[in-house]
Amino acid sequence: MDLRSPLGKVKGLGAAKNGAREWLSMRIAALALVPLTIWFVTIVIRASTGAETLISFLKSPFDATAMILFLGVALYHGCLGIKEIIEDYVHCHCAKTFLLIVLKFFTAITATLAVLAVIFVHINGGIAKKPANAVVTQEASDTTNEVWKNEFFNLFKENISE
Amino acid sequence: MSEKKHNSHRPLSPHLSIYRLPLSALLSITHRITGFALFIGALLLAWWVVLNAYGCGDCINSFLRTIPVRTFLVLWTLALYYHMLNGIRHLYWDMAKGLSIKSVNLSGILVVIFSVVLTLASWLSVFYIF
Repeated sequence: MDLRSPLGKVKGLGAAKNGAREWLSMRIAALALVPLTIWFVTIVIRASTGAETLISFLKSPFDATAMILFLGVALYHGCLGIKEIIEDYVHCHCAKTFLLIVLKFFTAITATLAVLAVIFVHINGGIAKKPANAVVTQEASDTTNEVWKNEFFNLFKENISE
Repeated sequence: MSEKKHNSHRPLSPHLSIYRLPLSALLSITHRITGFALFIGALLLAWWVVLNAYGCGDCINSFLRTIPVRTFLVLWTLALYYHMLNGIRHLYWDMAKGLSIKSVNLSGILVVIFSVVLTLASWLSVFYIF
């Protein structure tokens, strides 16, 4: 949707030269972020305190979807917001362009990596730290899940022998 | 005209170093500052997820439970709630509603109160329920 007047479009008015679409995108992203933020605070605070680990809750399809949406929409909304701040306060054209390019590249890389990480944890359970006392057999060593099974089996054996 | 402008000693308003900001202006700049802090936090959150997924999460997770970092997390949650509630206020204004001075001041006070209450409720629920 284009809300700009034809004259404003031709003259390139405003500090950013364009932006009606960004203005609207930012507000729609904000609307989406309201429920996502409520989900985020209720779930992720618990993960950060260790009551529930990040890896265990990302196995639920609902939470993995919400996490990807939250990270994606928050970084998108944030990127537009920081762009606005840079355009307001950085007056030197050269520095402004440089900062805007750095911002966009860094945000895009971070968002892509994070989405990849969530999908990886959702499907594979992430790369867990290899337990120090686990006896890893030849067949079991190839997947992380097997390593964990082994670890639990060893713990079980130790308890039995005691 | 421009000469007259240069010679006159008319006050520049608002002169930010001595001007006492009204509540609405104070909340407006706080919205921008919290937005900046939240973006930095969102980047850190993304990298936290990445590190947890690829196996080096433990070194950070223990660090997250130290008092200074926990304090930052609580403040970040406060900023998040503040920005969310003030954002809802902005969306309401975008519909050209609630723009009288009286209702702007009232909604501003409500935003501050509710962001503090929700932050306390979220963190206390973690420590006392779970």
